[in-house]
Amino acid sequence: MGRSRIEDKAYTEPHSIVEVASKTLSSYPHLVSVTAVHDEKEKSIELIYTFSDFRGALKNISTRIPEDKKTLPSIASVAPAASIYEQEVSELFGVAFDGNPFTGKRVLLPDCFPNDVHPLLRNVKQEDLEKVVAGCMLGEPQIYVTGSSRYSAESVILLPFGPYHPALKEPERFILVLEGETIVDVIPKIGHVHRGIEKIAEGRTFLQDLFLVERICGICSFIHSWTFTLAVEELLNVKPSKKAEYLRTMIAELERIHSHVLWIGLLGYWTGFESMFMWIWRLREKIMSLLDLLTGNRVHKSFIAFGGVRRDVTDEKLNTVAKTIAEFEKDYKKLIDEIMSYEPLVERIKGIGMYNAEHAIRLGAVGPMIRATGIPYDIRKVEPYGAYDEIDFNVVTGKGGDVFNVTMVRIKEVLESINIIRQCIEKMPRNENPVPKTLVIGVVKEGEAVARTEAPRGELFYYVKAANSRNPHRVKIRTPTLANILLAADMLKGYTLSDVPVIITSIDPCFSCMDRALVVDKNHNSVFFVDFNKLRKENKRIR
Amino acid sequence: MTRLTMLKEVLKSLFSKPSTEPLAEVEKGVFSPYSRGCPVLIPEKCTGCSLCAMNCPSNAITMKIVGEKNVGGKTLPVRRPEFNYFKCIYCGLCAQVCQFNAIEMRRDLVILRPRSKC
Repeated sequence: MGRSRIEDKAYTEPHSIVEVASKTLSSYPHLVSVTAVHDEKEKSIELIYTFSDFRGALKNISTRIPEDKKTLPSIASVAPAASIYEQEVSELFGVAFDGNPFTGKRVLLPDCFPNDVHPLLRNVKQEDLEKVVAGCMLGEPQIYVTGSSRYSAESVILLPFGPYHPALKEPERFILVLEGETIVDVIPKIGHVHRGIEKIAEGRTFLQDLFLVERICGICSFIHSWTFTLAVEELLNVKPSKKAEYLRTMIAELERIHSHVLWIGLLGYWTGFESMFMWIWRLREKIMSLLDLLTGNRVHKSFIAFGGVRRDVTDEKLNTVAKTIAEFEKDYKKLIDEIMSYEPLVERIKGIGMYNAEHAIRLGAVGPMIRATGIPYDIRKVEPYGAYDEIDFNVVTGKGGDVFNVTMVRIKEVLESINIIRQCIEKMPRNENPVPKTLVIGVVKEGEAVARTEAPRGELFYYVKAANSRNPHRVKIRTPTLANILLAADMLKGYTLSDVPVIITSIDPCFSCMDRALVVDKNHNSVFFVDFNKLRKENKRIR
Repeated sequence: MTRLTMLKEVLKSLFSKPSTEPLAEVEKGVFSPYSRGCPVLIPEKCTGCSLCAMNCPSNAITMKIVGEKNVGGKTLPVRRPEFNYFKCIYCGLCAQVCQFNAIEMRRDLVILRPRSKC
């Protein structure tokens, strides 16, 4: 479980995809991903739409389009979550989706990237791509204002948030459409750290890719390599030993604690409660040193191997973990009690960024975001992988989506993770060797496999296709933040500019500084840039 | 009661060690006692099979020709791995895939010196 080989794909014609998708959505309401695979021999592109229900069943719908006529209807009208997945396919494979709201815009690749180069097609070489990227010069960033008449006010202000801001750790850009101080629309522009990992993975062996996928994220690095391992183990028909499963589960849970605690600290930072940030981060150090103790590294653990783990953990170390975790739990409970009884903080996050369950499902939200609305959608429970089927734990849910509930879900999940780690240490078989005999796997037989896990931020999805070679034919990664980004953009609508940091933080990405504003004047139908000095003069004039 | 707790916290903070760790220890290049360490070749054991170079995730190992040997009347080049410690991610995979245990992971070396020639 948690992984499966794709054997029963429902084939459908490209023109009837909307019909089939809307039928499937009635029983499988969650769209997991849209995967495109280029087949250079058959000169076609296969599109796999993966749907899931909230009990763990997956359904794959596949369609093929010829290489020379890459158009098909968009399913964004029936599944709004598809819009960003389709846009990703459209930019990387050059497939045109009729009716996608992002058509004609760039969301992932830089604005200067040539329109006729589609990086993930098999006939595009990695060396050529390097030249293309080196030759492309970033000009004036373009902001796409399509149909400004959508907005009811006389004039709206477009405020670019991003990509770089001193308050944020990662580059990401949101273009906020403001009417006065209220946000009416948000246009996300992602891809500022797009490193082409899916392309690089095709040119390396499976074993080398294991270390590559780990470097996708610095916070949830282990879960990425675990998910990739689950998919490859499915292709190889290998099963790890019981102790390896328990060790993997334990590391993943330690990572979840470290990720959630980091986030709670950052929430304090962004709501202006900096001592909370420092207190919580001091606690997090305990978990970091445990990860160092168990795996040898604090951040990129390099702990997992196909068919097991790379180093055994002694009983002595397990006892240290049990002891430190107990200390951590005591300190954490005390600290959270103190923080959550501080009213200004609770008032600041309560009722901000409200959304409901139906909305979250439509926009494809995952992880704590969907659990905050009361839907117990947790891959650890619905499709147990690792040792989760032998461990007794609860899925934490909230009472309705807003920043406060999302915070409470994360706070309680840390306690649940502590419980899981404790059970892992108790139930772990001690006299087994979790290290496989050989780490090198060589040629992998033809096949396709998918794997899903519950990363700290939500459901993480991997698709791996092997074609009798040492390198994977295609690796598709759908990260939880991509699934949540549409919801984040939607949550902002109707709230004021001052709520932006808190709401965007609630899903975990970043916002950035406004160095200039762009004004759309509806009466004159013109768009112009205003730099900071001009804005200041204008401001004085009004006063 | 609250004042007492506060006083306790204050006294604890006054006499306890700072929670930050000195950077100087990191600068010395000393590895954490649990880390995998730094790959070092034991030339006597190496057969030059280049399994380590093929599997290195960061392509930090290059096989260098260091001499020649005579096998059955033919002269064949002798190859030995060379580590680029700036590319290396210190994952220890090379030591684990080596069939002859010719790569040792050592924690006692000082290698993180940017200006020196490794």
